[in-house]
Amino acid sequence: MNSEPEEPLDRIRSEIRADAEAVRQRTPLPERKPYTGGAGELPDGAAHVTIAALAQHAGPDFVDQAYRAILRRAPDADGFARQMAALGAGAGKIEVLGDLRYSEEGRRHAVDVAGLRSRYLFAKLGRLPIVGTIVRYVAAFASLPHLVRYQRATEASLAVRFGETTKGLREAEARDVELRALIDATRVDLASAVAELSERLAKNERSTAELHRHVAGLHAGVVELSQLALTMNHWTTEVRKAIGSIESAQAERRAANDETEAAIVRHARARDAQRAERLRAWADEAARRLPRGATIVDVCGGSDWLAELAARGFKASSIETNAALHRDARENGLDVTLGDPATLLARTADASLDGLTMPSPERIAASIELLREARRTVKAGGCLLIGAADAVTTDRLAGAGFDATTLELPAGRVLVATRT
Amino acid sequence: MNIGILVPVLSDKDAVGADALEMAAALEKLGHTVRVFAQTTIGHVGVTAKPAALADFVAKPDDLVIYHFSFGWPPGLPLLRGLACRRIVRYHNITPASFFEGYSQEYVGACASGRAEIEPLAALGCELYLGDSPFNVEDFLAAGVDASRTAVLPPFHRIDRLLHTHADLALLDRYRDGSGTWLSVGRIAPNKGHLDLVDAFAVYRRAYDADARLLIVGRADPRLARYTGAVRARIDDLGLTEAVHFLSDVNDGQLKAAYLVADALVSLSAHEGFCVPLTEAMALGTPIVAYGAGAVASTTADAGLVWDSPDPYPYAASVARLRSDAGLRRALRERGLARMHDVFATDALVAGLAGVMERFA
Repeated sequence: MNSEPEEPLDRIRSEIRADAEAVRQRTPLPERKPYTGGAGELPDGAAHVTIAALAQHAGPDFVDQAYRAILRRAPDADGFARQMAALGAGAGKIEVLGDLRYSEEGRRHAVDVAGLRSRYLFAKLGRLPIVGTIVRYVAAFASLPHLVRYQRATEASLAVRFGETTKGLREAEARDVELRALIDATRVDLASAVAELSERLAKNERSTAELHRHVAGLHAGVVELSQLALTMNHWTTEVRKAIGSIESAQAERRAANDETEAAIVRHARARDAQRAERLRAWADEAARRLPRGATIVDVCGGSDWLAELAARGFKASSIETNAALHRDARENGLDVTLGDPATLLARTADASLDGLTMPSPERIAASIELLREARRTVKAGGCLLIGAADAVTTDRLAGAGFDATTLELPAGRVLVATRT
Repeated sequence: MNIGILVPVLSDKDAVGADALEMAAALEKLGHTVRVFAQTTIGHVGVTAKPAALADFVAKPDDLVIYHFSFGWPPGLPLLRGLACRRIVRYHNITPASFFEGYSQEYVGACASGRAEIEPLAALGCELYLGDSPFNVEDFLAAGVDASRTAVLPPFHRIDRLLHTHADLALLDRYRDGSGTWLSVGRIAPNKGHLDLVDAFAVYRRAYDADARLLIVGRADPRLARYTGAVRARIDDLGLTEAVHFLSDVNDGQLKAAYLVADALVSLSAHEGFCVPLTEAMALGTPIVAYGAGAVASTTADAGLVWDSPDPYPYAASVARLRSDAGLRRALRERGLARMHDVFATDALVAGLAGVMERFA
């Protein structure tokens, strides 16, 4: 089995858990038995210990054994650290044993440590100023015979050790030879591995060079594409500029046309002596047919017509196709929207208007599209008022679902149609 | 700023000593004037002063004391209470006394008195309670410390020294024979879960590899002889006497060799405040299989196979899978090395310590 490094650890853990359950079934473990062995403390009653038995231990083991032998317990952390520090500072084992044995706790246990008292006192005496120095000299002099014997024993011991060391050195040399052989063999293996790696490296370098060439080719293609994109961008900008110029010229022409048409309309309305009377009569007719507060949308009727409607309590607004006339109306504070009437009515909700007026058919014809929107937006019972209607318009209105009537008013004819 | 590092017992051998001494060195590199204060020292720990001199060294209000808290030390509370400077409690955790019930009344007492100091230390209102792990911080949060006064910084260590030590050839030769090798590192104490470890190893021997061996690297404490006896008795009951090797007092070279020769570091420890052997295994590329108790899960993260109970069977199956799945071994090794580099490497720890010190700028 060989999991990939990226293999999810959770899946591996699930497999391990399943394996563990299978093993549990076929490999049960025996129950643990309660442990009935000793607690590690020294047995009671060991009232006699020897310095030699304790001194054979060293360092932490010595401190531990001394506590157990003399104080009948394991050392506490602080005491253990203190005695270890004393040994580290050069104190002898006799002093440590004596400190324990003749402490208050040690005296309570009264363990007999043969020969400790005199040696401990002597060790303590050696710590006194001046007297201690003399004592140490006397002791050293007195122990000269013992030291000589010890030196001879040491020489014999060293000779043995020397032999052992020499033997150890020979073994180490043999081991050295063996290791050198191993190193040589490893070196050969390494050389072989290095050769193989070099070959792989050369192969990789060739692949890398080929890859570089491929990347360079791709890079040239990208540069060419980039140039083409820049060229296209340049031409797109030029086309946009040209379209902008055309649109600007069209806008200028439209504005000029609107100004001309506005001048004509203003002139015509100024010369129409009966316009004010006619509009009042038409507005009165509208008031007879529609309640106050009714919503009326006018199409190109002019500011004076809108004012007449407002004066009769209607919520009147107007659609104007001419920008100049729209500007005039807005300057008079009227609710007028500039745009194509059919388009603007298309944004109006179904059956949301009480009336629609087109008092100036010379400016805007009752087209099929406009009548279709009128039919959709004017409520049933609502009305349509068109100035100076002709037979064609009357027919269209009938087809669009309006009941049209031409009224002959003193100031002029008007076509009034009711939404059926 | 003067910074006093206060450690009741400072040893050059244990994890607390390594954290305190390496932290002191890092703080000096960050430009602070640092001095280490210890009641007792063991081994080569450099120049230290006695705690009685601490108050004079950190006399200004903007000086700082970092108290390394890992066992009960009654003089610590009044000493910290009487200081005019700012204080950090660096918490390495204390094993709950319940683990030692039935094994050592001395340990029960020592652990209980140590944990009894958590609440008074929390009540001191120190500026920061800095845990080795999120698990350690929980003790002080439970004692009422506001979360804003806590932070986590993994312990400093001497793994670099282990990396640069030559592995012991004799130990490598002895155990590199192709048999499955489990490794456990840590002192032999009841919270370390040796009984569960032995059970898991027994399952592995019976189900997968009858020649496998378990190396238990760690010192047996004479005061816990009853626990050591219980572990040995279980080993004998399961017929593993020849298969379990106790390695005590190993040097760095032997420890490194043990990691290198092992198929996995297996830990069933039930209580760890951080668990340095996990980071040693990561640094040396030894896969980890562990019981995620205490801080083990957060220390290991996704760099090992961590289980949520000490049930022995998944551990046996995990080592078997590692032995047969080179991709999994490689993946865990790479994750361990990356985690060591990104989170626990000395540079990362120094950067983390600098972040902690920004609170005291």
